[in-house]
Amino acid sequence: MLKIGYGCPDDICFYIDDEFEEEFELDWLDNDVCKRILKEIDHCTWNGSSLVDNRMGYLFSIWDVSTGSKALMMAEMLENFEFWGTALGDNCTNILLEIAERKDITIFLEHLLHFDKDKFSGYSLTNNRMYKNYDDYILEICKEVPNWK
Amino acid sequence: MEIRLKSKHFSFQIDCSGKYNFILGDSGSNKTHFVKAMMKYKSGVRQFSCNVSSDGYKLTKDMIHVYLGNEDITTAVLNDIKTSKGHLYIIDEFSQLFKIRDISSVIRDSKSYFIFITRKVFGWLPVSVDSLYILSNVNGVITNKPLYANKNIDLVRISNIEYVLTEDSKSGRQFFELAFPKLKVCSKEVIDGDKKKSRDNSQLHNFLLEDSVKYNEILVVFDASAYGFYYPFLVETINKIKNYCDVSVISWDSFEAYLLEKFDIHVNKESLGCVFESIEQCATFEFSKLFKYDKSSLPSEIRRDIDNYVYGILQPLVKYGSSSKTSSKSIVGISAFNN
Repeated sequence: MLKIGYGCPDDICFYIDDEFEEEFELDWLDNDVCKRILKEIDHCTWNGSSLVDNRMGYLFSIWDVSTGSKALMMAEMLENFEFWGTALGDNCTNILLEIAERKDITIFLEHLLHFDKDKFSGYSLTNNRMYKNYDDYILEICKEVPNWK
Repeated sequence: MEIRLKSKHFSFQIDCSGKYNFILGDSGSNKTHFVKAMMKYKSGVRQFSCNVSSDGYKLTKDMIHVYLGNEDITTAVLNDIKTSKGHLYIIDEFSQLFKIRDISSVIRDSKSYFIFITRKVFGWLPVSVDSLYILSNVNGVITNKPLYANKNIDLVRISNIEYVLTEDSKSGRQFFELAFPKLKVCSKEVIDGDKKKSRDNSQLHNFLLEDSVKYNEILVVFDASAYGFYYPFLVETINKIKNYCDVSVISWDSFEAYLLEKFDIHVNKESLGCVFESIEQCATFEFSKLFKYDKSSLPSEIRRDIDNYVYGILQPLVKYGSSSKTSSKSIVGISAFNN
Protein backbone atom coordinates (compact mmCIF):
# COMPACT_ATOMS: atom_id res chain seq x y z
CA MET A 1 0.00 0.00 0.00
CA LEU A 2 1.16 3.53 -0.78
CA LYS A 3 0.77 5.86 2.19
CA ILE A 4 0.97 9.60 1.59
CA GLY A 5 1.79 12.35 4.07
CA TYR A 6 3.10 15.91 3.74
CA GLY A 7 6.18 17.85 4.84
CA CYS A 8 9.47 16.19 5.69
CA PRO A 9 9.56 14.48 9.12
CA ASP A 10 13.02 14.06 10.65
CA ASP A 11 12.92 10.26 10.79
CA ILE A 12 12.31 9.55 7.10
CA CYS A 13 14.91 8.99 4.39
CA PHE A 14 15.60 12.47 3.02
CA TYR A 15 19.19 12.24 1.78
CA ILE A 16 18.35 9.63 -0.84
CA ASP A 17 21.78 9.61 -2.51
CA ASP A 18 23.65 9.13 0.76
CA GLU A 19 21.24 6.45 2.02
CA PHE A 20 21.50 4.65 -1.31
CA GLU A 21 25.29 4.56 -1.03
CA GLU A 22 24.92 2.79 2.31
CA GLU A 23 22.14 0.41 1.33
CA PHE A 24 23.01 -0.59 -2.24
CA GLU A 25 24.13 -4.17 -2.95
CA LEU A 26 25.43 -5.28 -6.33
CA ASP A 27 22.82 -8.04 -6.59
CA TRP A 28 20.08 -5.37 -6.72
CA LEU A 29 21.05 -5.08 -10.37
CA ASP A 30 19.83 -8.66 -10.95
CA ASN A 31 16.36 -7.68 -9.76
CA ASP A 32 13.92 -7.27 -12.66
CA VAL A 33 12.19 -4.25 -11.13
CA CYS A 34 15.53 -2.48 -10.56
CA LYS A 35 16.52 -3.25 -14.16
CA ARG A 36 13.24 -1.77 -15.31
CA ILE A 37 13.69 1.33 -13.14
CA LEU A 38 17.11 1.98 -14.66
CA LYS A 39 15.81 1.39 -18.18
CA GLU A 40 12.63 3.48 -17.94
CA ILE A 41 13.79 6.34 -15.71
CA ASP A 42 17.50 6.69 -16.51
CA HIS A 43 17.53 5.11 -19.98
CA CYS A 44 20.44 2.85 -19.12
CA THR A 45 21.36 -0.83 -18.87
CA TRP A 46 23.72 -2.71 -16.55
CA ASN A 47 26.38 -4.54 -18.59
CA GLY A 48 27.86 -6.47 -15.68
CA SER A 49 30.50 -3.93 -14.80
CA SER A 50 29.03 -0.52 -15.58
CA LEU A 51 25.87 1.29 -16.60
CA VAL A 52 25.56 2.12 -20.27
CA ASP A 53 23.48 5.06 -21.48
CA ASN A 54 21.06 3.58 -24.01
CA ARG A 55 20.90 6.76 -26.11
CA MET A 56 24.50 7.99 -26.19
CA GLY A 57 26.42 4.82 -25.33
CA TYR A 58 28.68 6.29 -22.66
CA LEU A 59 29.42 4.54 -19.36
CA PHE A 60 28.53 5.83 -15.94
CA SER A 61 28.43 4.75 -12.33
CA ILE A 62 25.45 3.49 -10.32
CA TRP A 63 26.08 6.46 -8.00
CA ASP A 64 25.23 8.79 -10.87
CA VAL A 65 21.73 7.49 -11.61
CA SER A 66 18.87 9.83 -10.78
CA THR A 67 17.67 10.35 -7.22
CA GLY A 68 14.22 9.17 -8.29
CA SER A 69 15.63 5.83 -9.50
CA LYS A 70 17.61 5.38 -6.30
CA ALA A 71 14.48 6.02 -4.22
CA LEU A 72 12.46 3.53 -6.27
CA MET A 73 15.17 0.86 -6.00
CA MET A 74 15.25 1.28 -2.22
CA ALA A 75 11.44 1.11 -2.14
CA GLU A 76 11.66 -2.18 -4.04
CA MET A 77 14.54 -3.73 -2.09
CA LEU A 78 13.90 -2.50 1.48
CA GLU A 79 10.92 -3.12 3.76
CA ASN A 80 8.50 -0.37 4.85
CA PHE A 81 10.57 2.30 3.15
CA GLU A 82 9.56 5.82 4.24
CA PHE A 83 11.06 8.65 2.25
CA TRP A 84 10.81 12.20 0.92
CA GLY A 85 8.55 11.72 -2.09
CA THR A 86 9.53 15.07 -3.56
CA ALA A 87 12.66 13.27 -4.76
CA LEU A 88 10.39 11.52 -7.28
CA GLY A 89 9.48 12.90 -10.68
CA ASP A 90 6.06 12.25 -12.18
CA ASN A 91 7.70 9.62 -14.40
CA CYS A 92 8.41 7.50 -11.29
CA THR A 93 4.83 7.14 -10.14
CA ASN A 94 3.67 4.20 -12.26
CA ILE A 95 6.50 2.00 -10.98
CA LEU A 96 5.96 3.34 -7.45
CA LEU A 97 2.30 2.28 -7.57
CA GLU A 98 3.26 -1.16 -8.89
CA ILE A 99 5.75 -1.73 -6.05
CA ALA A 100 3.16 -0.46 -3.55
CA GLU A 101 0.74 -3.16 -4.70
CA ARG A 102 3.13 -5.70 -3.15
CA LYS A 103 4.47 -3.88 -0.09
CA ASP A 104 4.01 -0.86 2.16
CA ILE A 105 5.74 2.35 1.06
CA THR A 106 5.33 5.75 2.72
CA ILE A 107 6.08 9.02 0.96
CA PHE A 108 6.02 12.56 2.31
CA LEU A 109 5.42 15.29 -0.25
CA GLU A 110 6.31 18.95 -0.52
CA HIS A 111 5.28 19.34 -4.15
CA LEU A 112 2.40 18.27 -6.35
CA LEU A 113 3.29 14.75 -7.48
CA HIS A 114 1.13 13.58 -10.37
CA PHE A 115 -0.03 9.99 -10.75
CA ASP A 116 -1.90 8.18 -13.49
CA LYS A 117 -5.49 8.92 -12.53
CA ASP A 118 -6.72 5.45 -13.47
CA LYS A 119 -3.96 3.57 -11.64
CA PHE A 120 -3.89 5.66 -8.48
CA SER A 121 -4.58 4.03 -5.14
CA GLY A 122 -3.31 5.24 -1.79
CA TYR A 123 -3.83 5.82 1.90
CA SER A 124 -4.04 9.33 3.36
CA LEU A 125 -1.97 9.79 6.49
CA THR A 126 -3.69 13.15 6.97
CA ASN A 127 -7.19 11.70 7.16
CA ASN A 128 -6.29 8.11 8.13
CA ARG A 129 -8.27 6.51 5.34
CA MET A 130 -7.93 5.30 1.77
CA TYR A 131 -8.33 7.98 -0.88
CA LYS A 132 -11.71 7.65 -2.61
CA ASN A 133 -10.10 8.40 -5.95
CA TYR A 134 -7.40 10.56 -7.58
CA ASP A 135 -9.49 13.75 -7.23
CA ASP A 136 -9.65 13.11 -3.50
CA TYR A 137 -5.83 13.08 -3.42
CA ILE A 138 -5.60 16.26 -5.55
CA LEU A 139 -8.02 18.09 -3.27
CA GLU A 140 -6.01 17.07 -0.24
CA ILE A 141 -2.59 17.94 -1.67
CA CYS A 142 -3.82 21.35 -2.87
CA LYS A 143 -4.80 22.10 0.71
CA GLU A 144 -1.78 20.57 2.44
CA VAL A 145 1.34 21.36 0.40
CA PRO A 146 0.94 25.17 0.39
CA ASN A 147 1.23 24.91 4.19
CA TRP A 148 4.75 23.50 3.77
CA LYS A 149 6.17 26.39 1.78
CA MET B 1 22.10 34.59 -18.25
CA GLU B 2 23.63 32.10 -20.65
CA ILE B 3 25.39 28.95 -19.52
CA ARG B 4 27.25 26.84 -22.06
CA LEU B 5 28.85 23.75 -20.56
CA LYS B 6 30.53 21.09 -22.69
CA SER B 7 32.08 17.71 -22.04
CA LYS B 8 33.01 14.73 -24.20
CA HIS B 9 29.51 13.21 -24.34
CA PHE B 10 27.06 16.08 -23.87
CA SER B 11 26.56 19.81 -23.64
CA PHE B 12 24.26 21.99 -21.57
CA GLN B 13 22.75 25.18 -22.99
CA ILE B 14 20.86 26.96 -20.22
CA ASP B 15 19.24 30.35 -20.90
CA CYS B 16 17.34 32.18 -18.21
CA SER B 17 16.83 35.64 -16.75
CA GLY B 18 15.99 37.26 -13.44
CA LYS B 19 17.41 36.60 -10.00
CA TYR B 20 15.72 33.27 -9.20
CA ASN B 21 15.33 30.35 -11.57
CA PHE B 22 14.32 26.76 -10.90
CA ILE B 23 15.08 23.62 -12.86
CA LEU B 24 12.39 21.04 -12.11
CA GLY B 25 11.09 18.02 -13.93
CA ASP B 26 11.15 14.25 -14.25
CA SER B 27 13.68 11.96 -12.67
CA GLY B 28 16.56 11.14 -15.01
CA SER B 29 16.20 14.41 -16.90
CA ASN B 30 19.80 15.45 -16.14
CA LYS B 31 19.14 17.91 -13.30
CA THR B 32 21.71 16.48 -10.91
CA HIS B 33 23.90 15.67 -13.91
CA PHE B 34 24.02 19.42 -14.61
CA VAL B 35 25.06 20.25 -11.02
CA LYS B 36 27.73 17.53 -10.97
CA ALA B 37 29.06 18.64 -14.34
CA MET B 38 29.33 22.23 -13.09
CA MET B 39 31.18 20.95 -10.02
CA LYS B 40 33.63 19.05 -12.19
CA TYR B 41 34.22 22.18 -14.24
CA LYS B 42 34.80 24.15 -11.03
CA SER B 43 37.22 21.46 -9.83
CA GLY B 44 39.25 21.84 -13.00
CA VAL B 45 38.43 18.56 -14.75
CA ARG B 46 39.88 19.21 -18.21
CA GLN B 47 37.07 17.46 -20.12
CA PHE B 48 34.72 20.26 -19.10
CA SER B 49 34.63 23.70 -20.64
CA CYS B 50 32.15 26.33 -19.63
CA ASN B 51 31.12 29.85 -20.52
CA VAL B 52 28.68 31.79 -18.35
CA SER B 53 27.62 35.29 -19.28
CA SER B 54 25.07 37.78 -18.09
CA ASP B 55 24.10 41.00 -19.87
CA GLY B 56 27.13 40.56 -22.12
CA TYR B 57 29.58 40.14 -19.24
CA LYS B 58 31.42 36.86 -18.79
CA LEU B 59 31.43 35.42 -15.28
CA THR B 60 34.81 34.14 -14.19
CA LYS B 61 35.11 30.70 -12.64
CA ASP B 62 35.40 32.13 -9.13
CA MET B 63 32.05 33.89 -9.60
CA ILE B 64 30.30 30.55 -10.11
CA HIS B 65 29.39 28.58 -6.99
CA VAL B 66 27.91 25.09 -6.86
CA TYR B 67 26.27 23.48 -3.84
CA LEU B 68 25.30 19.84 -4.15
CA GLY B 69 24.89 18.41 -0.67
CA ASN B 70 27.95 17.59 1.39
CA GLU B 71 29.61 20.98 1.58
CA ASP B 72 30.45 22.64 4.84
CA ILE B 73 28.38 25.79 5.26
CA THR B 74 30.26 28.27 7.38
CA THR B 75 29.33 31.78 8.46
CA ALA B 76 31.87 33.04 5.94
CA VAL B 77 30.09 31.17 3.12
CA LEU B 78 26.75 32.69 4.11
CA ASN B 79 28.29 36.13 4.32
CA ASP B 80 29.83 35.69 0.86
CA ILE B 81 26.43 34.78 -0.58
CA LYS B 82 24.73 37.67 1.16
CA THR B 83 27.22 40.30 0.01
CA SER B 84 28.02 38.96 -3.46
CA LYS B 85 27.06 40.90 -6.56
CA GLY B 86 26.54 39.41 -10.00
CA HIS B 87 27.73 35.92 -9.04
CA LEU B 88 25.92 32.72 -10.00
CA TYR B 89 24.86 30.17 -7.38
CA ILE B 90 23.71 26.75 -8.56
CA ILE B 91 22.13 24.95 -5.62
CA ASP B 92 20.78 21.40 -5.46
CA GLU B 93 17.79 20.62 -3.24
CA PHE B 94 19.93 18.43 -0.96
CA SER B 95 22.42 21.21 -0.23
CA GLN B 96 23.18 21.85 3.42
CA LEU B 97 22.37 25.50 2.70
CA PHE B 98 18.70 24.71 3.14
CA LYS B 99 19.33 23.51 6.68
CA ILE B 100 20.36 27.05 7.62
CA ARG B 101 17.61 28.71 9.60
CA ASP B 102 17.71 32.13 7.94
CA ILE B 103 18.79 31.05 4.46
CA SER B 104 15.82 32.96 3.05
CA SER B 105 17.20 36.34 4.17
CA VAL B 106 20.72 35.40 3.02
CA ILE B 107 19.46 34.67 -0.49
CA ARG B 108 17.04 37.58 -0.63
CA ASP B 109 19.73 40.06 0.48
CA SER B 110 22.17 38.81 -2.13
CA LYS B 111 22.56 40.67 -5.43
CA SER B 112 23.50 37.52 -7.32
CA TYR B 113 21.73 35.01 -9.54
CA PHE B 114 20.41 31.72 -8.24
CA ILE B 115 19.52 28.53 -10.08
CA PHE B 116 17.87 25.96 -7.86
CA ILE B 117 17.78 22.31 -8.87
CA THR B 118 14.76 20.91 -7.10
CA ARG B 119 11.20 19.76 -7.44
CA LYS B 120 10.05 21.91 -4.56
CA VAL B 121 9.65 25.56 -5.56
CA PHE B 122 10.26 27.66 -2.49
CA GLY B 123 7.21 29.50 -1.24
CA TRP B 124 9.53 31.79 0.73
CA LEU B 125 10.92 33.39 -2.41
CA PRO B 126 9.04 35.53 -4.95
CA VAL B 127 9.45 33.08 -7.84
CA SER B 128 7.93 33.88 -11.19
CA VAL B 129 5.83 31.26 -12.95
CA ASP B 130 8.03 31.71 -16.00
CA SER B 131 11.21 31.10 -14.01
CA LEU B 132 10.35 27.41 -13.79
CA TYR B 133 12.08 25.16 -16.31
CA ILE B 134 12.54 21.56 -17.27
CA LEU B 135 15.47 20.07 -19.19
CA SER B 136 15.22 18.55 -22.62
CA ASN B 137 17.87 16.23 -24.06
CA VAL B 138 18.20 15.95 -27.83
CA ASN B 139 21.19 13.89 -28.93
CA GLY B 140 23.27 14.92 -25.94
CA VAL B 141 22.43 18.64 -26.19
CA ILE B 142 20.55 19.47 -23.00
CA THR B 143 18.54 22.71 -22.98
CA ASN B 144 16.03 24.27 -20.59
CA LYS B 145 12.39 24.80 -21.57
CA PRO B 146 9.67 26.72 -19.73
CA LEU B 147 7.58 24.33 -17.65
CA TYR B 148 4.22 26.01 -17.83
CA ALA B 149 4.01 27.82 -21.16
CA ASN B 150 1.91 25.11 -22.76
CA LYS B 151 -0.26 24.38 -19.77
CA ASN B 152 -0.93 28.06 -19.27
CA ILE B 153 -2.39 28.30 -22.76
CA ASP B 154 -4.91 25.69 -21.61
CA LEU B 155 -6.09 28.16 -19.00
CA VAL B 156 -7.00 30.84 -21.53
CA ARG B 157 -10.76 31.00 -21.86
CA ILE B 158 -13.31 33.17 -23.63
CA SER B 159 -16.38 33.67 -21.53
CA ASN B 160 -18.49 36.14 -19.65
CA ILE B 161 -17.68 37.17 -16.11
CA GLU B 162 -19.85 37.72 -13.07
CA TYR B 163 -17.22 37.61 -10.35
CA VAL B 164 -13.57 38.66 -10.06
CA LEU B 165 -11.21 36.81 -7.75
CA THR B 166 -7.91 38.61 -7.28
CA GLU B 167 -4.78 37.28 -5.66
CA ASP B 168 -4.00 40.82 -4.54
CA SER B 169 -6.07 41.89 -1.54
CA LYS B 170 -5.03 45.55 -1.67
CA SER B 171 -4.53 47.99 -4.56
CA GLY B 172 -5.07 45.40 -7.31
CA ARG B 173 -8.37 44.27 -5.84
CA GLN B 174 -9.40 47.89 -5.28
CA PHE B 175 -8.68 48.66 -8.94
CA PHE B 176 -11.14 46.04 -10.17
CA GLU B 177 -13.75 47.19 -7.69
CA LEU B 178 -13.53 50.80 -8.88
CA ALA B 179 -12.99 50.21 -12.58
CA PHE B 180 -15.66 47.56 -13.06
CA PRO B 181 -18.63 48.43 -10.83
CA LYS B 182 -20.89 46.07 -12.76
CA LEU B 183 -18.84 43.11 -11.58
CA LYS B 184 -18.79 41.59 -8.14
CA VAL B 185 -15.23 41.61 -6.82
CA CYS B 186 -13.96 39.37 -4.05
CA SER B 187 -13.95 40.82 -0.56
CA LYS B 188 -10.88 42.39 0.96
CA GLU B 189 -10.89 39.97 3.86
CA VAL B 190 -11.91 36.41 4.48
CA ILE B 191 -13.48 34.80 7.50
CA ASP B 192 -11.28 32.12 9.02
CA GLY B 193 -13.12 30.56 11.92
CA ASP B 194 -14.33 33.57 13.87
CA LYS B 195 -11.53 35.88 12.70
CA LYS B 196 -11.31 38.26 9.75
CA LYS B 197 -8.05 37.87 7.84
CA SER B 198 -6.51 39.59 4.83
CA ARG B 199 -6.42 37.47 1.71
CA ASP B 200 -3.29 35.39 1.35
CA ASN B 201 -2.03 34.45 -2.12
CA SER B 202 -1.27 30.94 -0.89
CA GLN B 203 -5.00 30.31 -0.68
CA LEU B 204 -6.14 31.68 -4.06
CA HIS B 205 -6.81 28.20 -5.43
CA ASN B 206 -8.81 27.27 -2.34
CA PHE B 207 -10.87 30.48 -2.60
CA LEU B 208 -11.52 29.63 -6.25
CA LEU B 209 -12.76 26.18 -5.27
CA GLU B 210 -15.13 27.69 -2.69
CA ASP B 211 -16.32 30.48 -5.01
CA SER B 212 -16.93 28.11 -7.92
CA VAL B 213 -19.93 26.76 -6.00
CA LYS B 214 -21.46 30.25 -5.83
CA TYR B 215 -20.55 31.70 -9.25
CA ASN B 216 -20.69 30.26 -12.75
CA GLU B 217 -18.34 32.72 -14.47
CA ILE B 218 -15.21 33.74 -12.62
CA LEU B 219 -12.22 35.84 -13.63
CA VAL B 220 -9.06 34.93 -11.69
CA VAL B 221 -6.33 37.58 -11.58
CA PHE B 222 -2.87 36.89 -10.23
CA ASP B 223 0.64 38.32 -10.39
CA ALA B 224 2.66 35.62 -12.16
CA SER B 225 5.96 37.24 -11.13
CA ALA B 226 5.68 35.85 -7.61
CA TYR B 227 3.27 32.95 -8.00
CA GLY B 228 5.61 30.10 -9.02
CA PHE B 229 5.09 28.00 -5.90
CA TYR B 230 1.29 28.15 -5.99
CA TYR B 231 0.69 27.98 -9.73
CA PRO B 232 0.42 24.16 -10.06
CA PHE B 233 -2.30 24.12 -7.40
CA LEU B 234 -4.26 26.79 -9.26
CA VAL B 235 -3.94 24.82 -12.51
CA GLU B 236 -5.24 21.67 -10.81
CA THR B 237 -8.14 23.60 -9.28
CA ILE B 238 -9.15 25.19 -12.59
CA ASN B 239 -9.00 21.80 -14.28
CA LYS B 240 -11.13 20.33 -11.53
CA ILE B 241 -13.93 22.92 -11.69
CA LYS B 242 -13.95 23.66 -15.42
CA ASN B 243 -16.84 21.29 -16.06
CA TYR B 244 -19.24 23.42 -14.04
CA CYS B 245 -17.59 26.86 -13.85
CA ASP B 246 -16.22 29.09 -16.62
CA VAL B 247 -12.87 30.42 -15.46
CA SER B 248 -11.13 33.29 -17.24
CA VAL B 249 -7.57 34.10 -16.29
CA ILE B 250 -5.41 37.20 -16.27
CA SER B 251 -1.91 36.19 -15.32
CA TRP B 252 -0.01 39.42 -15.78
CA ASP B 253 3.48 39.82 -14.36
CA SER B 254 2.25 42.31 -11.77
CA PHE B 255 -0.50 44.87 -11.34
CA GLU B 256 2.07 47.68 -11.06
CA ALA B 257 3.81 46.54 -14.27
CA TYR B 258 0.42 46.77 -15.99
CA LEU B 259 -0.14 50.34 -14.77
CA LEU B 260 3.36 51.40 -15.81
CA GLU B 261 2.59 50.50 -19.42
CA LYS B 262 0.28 53.50 -19.44
CA PHE B 263 3.42 55.62 -19.04
CA ASP B 264 5.31 53.61 -21.64
CA ILE B 265 7.50 52.06 -18.96
CA HIS B 266 8.00 48.37 -19.58
CA VAL B 267 9.43 46.12 -16.92
CA ASN B 268 10.29 42.61 -18.02
CA LYS B 269 12.23 39.68 -16.69
CA GLU B 270 14.96 39.99 -19.30
CA SER B 271 15.89 43.50 -18.12
CA LEU B 272 15.56 42.72 -14.43
CA GLY B 273 19.15 41.70 -13.66
CA CYS B 274 19.67 40.44 -10.12
CA VAL B 275 19.16 43.66 -8.15
CA PHE B 276 15.39 43.22 -7.98
CA GLU B 277 13.88 39.96 -6.82
CA SER B 278 10.90 40.09 -9.12
CA ILE B 279 9.12 42.13 -11.75
CA GLU B 280 6.61 43.09 -9.09
CA GLN B 281 9.32 44.55 -6.86
CA CYS B 282 10.95 46.43 -9.73
CA ALA B 283 7.60 47.70 -11.05
CA THR B 284 6.53 48.87 -7.59
CA PHE B 285 9.84 50.72 -7.27
CA GLU B 286 9.31 52.42 -10.65
CA PHE B 287 5.66 53.16 -9.92
CA SER B 288 6.58 54.80 -6.62
CA LYS B 289 8.64 57.31 -8.57
CA LEU B 290 5.44 58.45 -10.30
CA PHE B 291 2.95 58.29 -7.44
CA LYS B 292 2.92 58.18 -3.68
CA TYR B 293 2.32 54.45 -3.41
CA ASP B 294 2.79 51.71 -0.86
CA LYS B 295 0.65 48.95 -2.41
CA SER B 296 -2.02 49.25 0.27
CA SER B 297 -4.31 51.44 -1.86
CA LEU B 298 -4.53 53.04 -5.27
CA PRO B 299 -3.08 56.54 -5.67
CA SER B 300 -5.83 59.16 -5.68
CA GLU B 301 -4.77 60.34 -9.18
CA ILE B 302 -5.60 56.91 -10.56
CA ARG B 303 -8.81 56.56 -8.58
CA ARG B 304 -10.07 59.88 -9.97
CA ASP B 305 -9.34 58.88 -13.54
CA ILE B 306 -9.92 55.14 -13.27
CA ASP B 307 -11.47 54.63 -16.73
CA ASN B 308 -8.29 55.86 -18.37
CA TYR B 309 -6.38 53.03 -16.75
CA VAL B 310 -8.50 50.35 -18.37
CA TYR B 311 -6.45 49.54 -21.47
CA GLY B 312 -4.38 46.86 -23.10
CA ILE B 313 -5.14 43.46 -21.70
CA LEU B 314 -8.09 44.80 -19.69
CA GLN B 315 -9.71 46.40 -22.73
CA PRO B 316 -12.17 43.52 -23.21
CA LEU B 317 -13.60 44.23 -19.76
CA VAL B 318 -14.77 47.81 -20.50
CA LYS B 319 -18.38 46.70 -20.84
CA TYR B 320 -18.33 46.06 -17.11
CA GLY B 321 -17.12 49.60 -16.40
CA SER B 322 -19.04 52.74 -15.46
CA SER B 323 -18.51 54.61 -18.75
CA SER B 324 -20.38 54.16 -22.01
CA LYS B 325 -17.46 52.37 -23.67
CA THR B 326 -18.45 49.07 -25.21
CA SER B 327 -16.56 46.01 -26.16
CA SER B 328 -17.15 44.24 -29.42
CA LYS B 329 -16.17 40.86 -28.02
CA SER B 330 -16.81 38.85 -24.93
CA ILE B 331 -14.19 38.53 -22.23
CA VAL B 332 -10.88 36.97 -23.02
CA GLY B 333 -8.68 35.23 -20.50
CA ILE B 334 -5.25 36.59 -21.11
CA SER B 335 -1.93 34.99 -20.48
CA ALA B 336 1.25 36.93 -19.87
CA PHE B 337 3.16 33.92 -21.13
CA ASN B 338 1.69 34.14 -24.59
CA ASN B 339 3.43 37.44 -25.18
